Amino acid sequence: MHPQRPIKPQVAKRAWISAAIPVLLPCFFLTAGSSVSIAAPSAPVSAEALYQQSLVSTQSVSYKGREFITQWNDDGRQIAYVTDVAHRAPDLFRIEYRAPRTMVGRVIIRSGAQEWTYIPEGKVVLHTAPPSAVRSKPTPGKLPLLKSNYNVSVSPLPERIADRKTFLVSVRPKDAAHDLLRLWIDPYTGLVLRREKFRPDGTLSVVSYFSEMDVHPTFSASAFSPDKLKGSGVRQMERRDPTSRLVPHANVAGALFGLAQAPPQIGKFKLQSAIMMGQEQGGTLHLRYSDGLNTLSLFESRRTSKGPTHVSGSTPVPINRNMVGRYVQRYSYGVLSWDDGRLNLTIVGDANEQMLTEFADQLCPLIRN
Amino acid sequence: MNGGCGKIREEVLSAYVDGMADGATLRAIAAHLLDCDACKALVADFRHQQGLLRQLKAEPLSAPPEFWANAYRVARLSKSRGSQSARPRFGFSWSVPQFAGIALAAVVGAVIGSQVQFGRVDITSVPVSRQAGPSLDVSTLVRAHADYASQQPLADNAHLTMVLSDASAQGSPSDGLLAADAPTLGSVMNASATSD
Repeated sequence: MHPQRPIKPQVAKRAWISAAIPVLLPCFFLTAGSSVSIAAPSAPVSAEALYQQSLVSTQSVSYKGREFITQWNDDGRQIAYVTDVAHRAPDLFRIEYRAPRTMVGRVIIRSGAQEWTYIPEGKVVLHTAPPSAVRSKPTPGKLPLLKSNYNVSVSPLPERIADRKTFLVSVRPKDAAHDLLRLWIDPYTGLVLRREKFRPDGTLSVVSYFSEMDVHPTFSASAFSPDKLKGSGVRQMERRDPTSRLVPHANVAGALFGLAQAPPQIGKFKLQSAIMMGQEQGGTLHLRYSDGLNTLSLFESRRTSKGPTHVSGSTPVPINRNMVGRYVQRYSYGVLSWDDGRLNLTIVGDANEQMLTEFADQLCPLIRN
Repeated sequence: MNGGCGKIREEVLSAYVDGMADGATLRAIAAHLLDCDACKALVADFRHQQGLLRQLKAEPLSAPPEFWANAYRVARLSKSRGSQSARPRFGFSWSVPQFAGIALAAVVGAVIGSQVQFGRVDITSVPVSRQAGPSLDVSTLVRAHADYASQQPLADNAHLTMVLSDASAQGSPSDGLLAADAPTLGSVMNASATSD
């Protein structure tokens, strides 16, 4: 299952590729986002080692290209974006909108967790401080979790996307008949050049692909400079997000004055980390769950006299047979909120109403003492 | 369109989908939907229609300049009249028998209403539940989640950056308690308009 010969990017012969495909297929997935140097081991590499390297590989390849994104919401609405994306490793992004018409000219520059958005129709640059002062590193422990919940397969034949060779990697939940995710990965850079996300019923949720891609390009000195967004008459506004701190696993139960409920596992999702947003007294505990591929966030806060509050545009949904929550979709995420009498709880995830409701149904019995 | 099972009127289900149902009605419908596929399908139809309606963009309405001047004058006039007499004035007065009769009818109606059952679901057996929203505004929670998701292997960082940026620009003050801290796209536009 491991490559026995060094991989020579861009110069491999067709015969070599044919012979190596069965050997490399698992590695293509596991090294998604990896740099060239990662894909050229001199000795047999274990899947675990490749996976650990892939966790940081997206920070090692610079590129620019045009990306098309189509998103289908729960309510049937379809939104299409065209953007010019530039990424300078390790953590600089520049995204300029070409479509839809209402967003043409909008530019986002992201440096680490700092973010500047230029909104041309208002001549405003919106600067956002880090949403989370804590940026936890991906943990290698997710590989067994991924394997336990998903089957991963790789197409034997390469496809060309953005004039680059890619291999299709399909990720299917073990208890489902449909793929949940398809990735077309450039084996030489690890970049994902096309991505299709599906709902559990098999319908498409998001499709994104690059029509052109330039790897390791030369960027102008000002390409990622937020100062260049501030032309004449442009105002800068600040958005403050609450301060946050990591809560060690051992201390989670004591958060929110002992009211916090943090089941270590909810269905297939395992607790990864906990963040306290804001001050303890009126703060919100952000519990981060993962099933190895997908992520869900559970937010808990003490129920106060100010709550419960309604979320605009939300609809009521039954939870756990005897409670009522409110569901709303924001961007591509589903948001489900309810109140158990002591806590306000909110689940946010790349999931629809049915999936979030099922998650809440699984969660409710776990947090009732 | 599917007409539901008939145990709950379509208008009531429509109000439920619109978020207009509350209290006992809301709980009864929620419980009924757990067991009734027909009504569940009808609710799905309503939601689909709701989605189609949302696609229709309303033209912004603008009032003529004299509207605000007139509205302000009327408001001032009302205020000065109100200060002359603290008691509200009605066009008619209640007699004691009329008031007693209406009060009795209201009590009887409340008692009967509390016994109403929707099909097999006895609303008095459904525990009290609440409709809750998050303590932080939704856009802040979405940002926090998107930030977490962007730290995962195989994450689509460009798309997530767009989500983060959108959540920053479009946080709604009606979403939660800290929303006053979050500029909305509307407030951004207004601020810009005043500065220019």
